Amino acid sequence: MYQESEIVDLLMVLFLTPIMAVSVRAIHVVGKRRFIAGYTAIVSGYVFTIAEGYVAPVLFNTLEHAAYAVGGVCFLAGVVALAHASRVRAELS
Amino acid sequence: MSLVAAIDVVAALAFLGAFVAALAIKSHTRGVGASLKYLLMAGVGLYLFVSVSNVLEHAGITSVLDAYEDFAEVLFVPLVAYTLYSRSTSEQLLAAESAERCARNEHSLLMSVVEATPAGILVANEVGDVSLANDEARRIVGLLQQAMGGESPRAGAVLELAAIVRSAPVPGLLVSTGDDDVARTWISVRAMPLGNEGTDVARAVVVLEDVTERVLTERELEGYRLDLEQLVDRRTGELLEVNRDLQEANQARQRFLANMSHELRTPLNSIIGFTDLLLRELPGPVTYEQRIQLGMVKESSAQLLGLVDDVLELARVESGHGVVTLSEVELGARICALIASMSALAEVRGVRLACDHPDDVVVMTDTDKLGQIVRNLVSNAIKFTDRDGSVTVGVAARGDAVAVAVADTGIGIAPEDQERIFEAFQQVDSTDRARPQGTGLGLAICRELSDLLGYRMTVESTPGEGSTFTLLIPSAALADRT
Repeated sequence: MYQESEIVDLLMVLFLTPIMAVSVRAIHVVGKRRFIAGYTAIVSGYVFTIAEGYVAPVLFNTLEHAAYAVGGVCFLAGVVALAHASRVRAELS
Repeated sequence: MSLVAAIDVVAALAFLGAFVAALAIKSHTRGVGASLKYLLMAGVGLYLFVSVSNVLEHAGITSVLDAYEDFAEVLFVPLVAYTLYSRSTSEQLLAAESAERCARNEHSLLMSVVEATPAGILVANEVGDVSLANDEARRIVGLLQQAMGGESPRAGAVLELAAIVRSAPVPGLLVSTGDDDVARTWISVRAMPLGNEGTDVARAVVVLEDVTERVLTERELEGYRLDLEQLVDRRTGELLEVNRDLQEANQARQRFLANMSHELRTPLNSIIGFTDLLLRELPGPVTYEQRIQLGMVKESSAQLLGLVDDVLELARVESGHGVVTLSEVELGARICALIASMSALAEVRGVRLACDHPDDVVVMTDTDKLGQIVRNLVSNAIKFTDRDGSVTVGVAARGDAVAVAVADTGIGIAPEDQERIFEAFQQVDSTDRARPQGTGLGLAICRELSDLLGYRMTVESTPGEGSTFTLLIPSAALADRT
């Protein structure tokens, strides 16, 4: 079974992701690919959350938490790269 | 601890690390751009909260935070969307600011160039409206406005800018103020079309240059040129007239010399012939005294005849009627044969005459004229060399040329006389009355004949030691016998 909040999460992902895809192409941020990977992992976690209500609950629950962990690692990598770049730029200027 | 709890611990630590790292981001922009750091912290913080809640739940500690997880998860996607929008807007603003700054800088640079340039520059459209003008352009337009009676008409009307803009590009158009040549200002106008920038009105950059000074200078120069041409024409006419007079005078002189020489030769030949008859006593016996006097008459007549012959020869060469007939000549042998024929004269004067030609050279020359040159030079050398002196004629190669040198041990020629002796009737002053006096034409004839043949004659002399006359025959005259 699913919870309403999980469906709302999924709908927002489906509605906002195409719009974000347009914006993300236009911006220039250090570690952009890592942030995209982290976002994708977390969104995957949403899907796994809904899936665990119907099939293989243990597997999908594990995958959901693993996806959050992967997302956390990707965000960590992206933020570290961004912080490093901002420090270098600050030193140069 | 279950596997899920362990994964949640990893996730919590990763998000915690990301949150701490986000604190270290140094924001280099102000306003919207600076919010990226805090939006990141918010997004990462949401999932830090979710991860911690998961850890507590799956570790069996507490599930009290689980009720708030849904709020955190619901906020995450809109937060990311807002972050992206914020970042995108920020970058667009920064790009717009940068472009505006660039445009301002370029406009500033362009205006500096326009103001600094010595020419007048203005931008006008096809109806004559001026949108930009530098000081020089305003000054020139002001001059034109004054010239139009001070009615202060528009610049477009003064310069007919509309027509100029419509016909751009204009490579160069000269306009002037008024009709008064003294006070008139001359303006050079050039125009280059500009882009319309989405409008239908044509525009052009018009460059105005005050060229009054240049135009006046050009006119002045043109006046000088015309004056100079007239002067040259006048002088050329005068020179042609003088030249014609000189030619006529020269022809008259030639005719006079030829006629006089002819008129002199005829009676002189009669005098010499009849004197010879008297000396040979064909008409009857002559006394000793009469023979001496007749001998003097014959000798004087012969000298006079020689003078007449020299004058005739010089006149012929100077008149340009001397005809050069070239033939191959073995120079050394020919000159030595010529010297041999003059040995009797040298013997009478007690002068040793020698010929030296170690290497015979074949040249293309006029034998008669070359012979006459050498005869005159040797005759002069014998005449001005004391008894027991010597005259040597040498033929030798000198560089690419061949030199025929007549060297004597005679009285020599002072440096100041060394050029004068080649002029007609010029002789070196001699105090020796016993020395035979020449006509002063021999060397002049030598120089004229040498020039006619294309040779060069030089003299080197030391008074009291002797002289060397050298005839240089250029390599072009050498016969090719290979």
